[in-house]
Amino acid sequence: MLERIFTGSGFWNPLIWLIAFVVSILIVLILRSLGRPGFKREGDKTKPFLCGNIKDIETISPRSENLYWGFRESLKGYYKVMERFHSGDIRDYIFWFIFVIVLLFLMEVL
Amino acid sequence: MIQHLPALIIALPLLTAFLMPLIGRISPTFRKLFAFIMIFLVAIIGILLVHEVHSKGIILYTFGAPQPGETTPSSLKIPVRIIFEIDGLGAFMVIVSIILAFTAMFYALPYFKEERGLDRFYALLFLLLAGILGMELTGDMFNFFVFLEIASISASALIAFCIDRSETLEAGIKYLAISSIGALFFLLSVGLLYGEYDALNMAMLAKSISNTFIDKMALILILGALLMKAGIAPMHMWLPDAYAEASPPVTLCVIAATQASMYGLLRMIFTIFHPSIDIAFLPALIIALSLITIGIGATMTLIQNRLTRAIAFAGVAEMGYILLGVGTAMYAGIKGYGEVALEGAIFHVLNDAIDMGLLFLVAGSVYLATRELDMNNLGGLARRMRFTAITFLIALLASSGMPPMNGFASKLLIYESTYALNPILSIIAILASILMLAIFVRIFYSVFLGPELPNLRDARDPPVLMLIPMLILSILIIFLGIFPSYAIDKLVDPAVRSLIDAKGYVSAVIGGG
Repeated sequence: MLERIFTGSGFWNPLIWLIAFVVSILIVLILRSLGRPGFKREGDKTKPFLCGNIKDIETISPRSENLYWGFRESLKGYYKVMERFHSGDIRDYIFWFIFVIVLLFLMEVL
Repeated sequence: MIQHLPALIIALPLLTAFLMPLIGRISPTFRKLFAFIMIFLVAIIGILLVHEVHSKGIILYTFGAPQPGETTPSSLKIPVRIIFEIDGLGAFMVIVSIILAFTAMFYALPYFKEERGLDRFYALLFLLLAGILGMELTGDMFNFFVFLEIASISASALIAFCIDRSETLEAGIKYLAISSIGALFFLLSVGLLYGEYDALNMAMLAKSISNTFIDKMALILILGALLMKAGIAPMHMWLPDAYAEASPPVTLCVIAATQASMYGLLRMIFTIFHPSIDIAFLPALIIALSLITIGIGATMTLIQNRLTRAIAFAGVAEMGYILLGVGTAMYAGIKGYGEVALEGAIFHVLNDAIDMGLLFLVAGSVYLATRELDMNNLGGLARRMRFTAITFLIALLASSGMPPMNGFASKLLIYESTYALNPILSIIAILASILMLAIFVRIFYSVFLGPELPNLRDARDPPVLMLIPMLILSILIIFLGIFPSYAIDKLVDPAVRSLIDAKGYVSAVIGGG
C-alpha cells in the first residue's frame, strides 16, 4: 500500500515525506534541548510588548476582517468588481448561465 | 439478490423517503433509528455493488426485462428500456456519495434534536440520495434528467429547511430556479438527440453520434447545464449561497449532488461525445473556465467573514482544480499525461468531497457551540473545542493541498500533468493553492486561536455522536494521504480505465451484455 504514485514525470511517496518530517522534528527537539536549562517562563519576559496605555493585552487580538488587510487594500479595485459580480440577484446568475451558453454557441458557429 | 443490487440501491432510499412520515408518527427515537439503519443498508448495498463491478466488470440492469442483463428486446434492434449501466466510474461515484450521505445522516441525528418537521427532513434527504445515486448509475439520458430533477427539487427544499433565517429560504429558492433552468437546457439537448437518433440510451447515443451541428448544439447545452450544476465560474454564484446557508448535513449531500453533476460532465464528454465530436476550442475553453474558477474561488474566500461562506468559496476553487484535470485530459488526449490528469481529477472528486465535507461539519460544530458564524465575533475556540480545532486543522491542510494529506496527492497529479501541457497552468494552480493555505490559516486563526472571548467561554466540543462522522472523515483524509496508491489502485484507476474505454461501455449494451 505504501508504493509510490507516479505522476508521469516523477513520483510521490508519503513514506519518504513522513520520515523526513520525523527527522525534522527530532532535529528541532535536539536544538531545543541545547537551550538554557534554567530558563523560567514566569514574568513579563515571554509576553508580547505593546506600547501605549493598554490595560489588558490579552483582549487585544486582530479580528478576521483585519487580517491580510494589505492584500485586500491593494486589490480593492478587483474586489469592487467581484462584489458587484456576486450581487446575490438571481437574474445575474441566470444571465451568466445564458452568457456561457451563447459564448459556446458563438465560438462554434463563428 | 446480488443481481438486483442496482435496483435496490435506488429503491431502498426511495422507499425510506416515502415511509419516513409514517415512521415519524411512532416516535422520534424510532425515526432516528430507522434512518440510521436504512442509510447503513444503502451503504452496504453500495459497497457490494462496487465489489461486483470490480470483480465482474460493467454491470447492466434493465428495468422491465425478463432478465436484468437483457438490454435489447428480442423484437427490436435497439435498447428501449431504462438501463442502469455501472462501470468503474459509476462505482467510484457511488462510494463518494455514500461516504457523504452516511456521515451527513450520522451528523444529522444529534444535530437536529430540537427541530420540527424532521419527518420531511429525513424523507427529503433520502430522496436526494436516490436522485444522486440514480444520476450516477443510469445509462439513459432521459432517466439522468429525471434523477437530476429529483436531486435538485429535494436539495432546494433541504437547503431551505431551517427557515430561522430569511437567507436560507432565499438560497433554497435560488437553487431551485438555477437547477430548473439548467435541467430544462439538459432536457432540450436530450430532445435534440432523441429527434436525431430515436434513442435515449447513452451507449446507443455514443455509438450513433456523428459530429453533426445538432450534436454539437446538444453537447453545448449539456455542458452549460452541468458546468453550472458543478459550480464552475462564472456560473458558480449559487454555490456559496446554497452551501453556506444550508445546515451542515444538507451541505454534505448538496456537495454529493455537485460531484454527481461533475460525474455527468465526465460521462457526457468522455463516453458519449468525445470520440465523435470535434469542437476544437472546447478543451482550451474548459481549461480557461477552470482557471477562472480557481482564481475567483481562492480570492473570494479571502474577503468572506462568514465561516461557511468562506468554506463554500474554497469549494468553488476545488471544483476548478477538478475541471483543470478534465480540460488537460481533453487537450492532451486520454493517453500519457492526459491520463494522469484524468486520474488526478477523479481522485480529487473524492478528496474534495471528504475535505469540504469535514470543513462544513466543523463549521456546524462551531455554530452549535457558539450560535455564531461571523468570524469577527469568534476566536480562541481551540481552548474549549480541541477536537473540533484539530479536525479543522486536518481539513484545512488537506484542502490546501499540503502533504501528506489526501488533497496533496490528487493536486500533485493535476499539477504535473498540467505542467506537461503548459507550465503556466501549473504555476497558476500552485499559486492558488498557496493562497488557499494562507487564507485557511487566517480562518483558523480567526476562529480557533487568539485570546478567549468572554462570551464564548461556554463553548464545548459537540456530542460524541457528532464527533464520530468528523473523526471518520479525518481518518479518511489521513489514510488517503498516506496510502494514496491504495485509493488509486482500488477506486481511481478502474474509474479512469472505464472512462478511457468508451467502446467497452457501448459494447456492453449494444452487444447485449
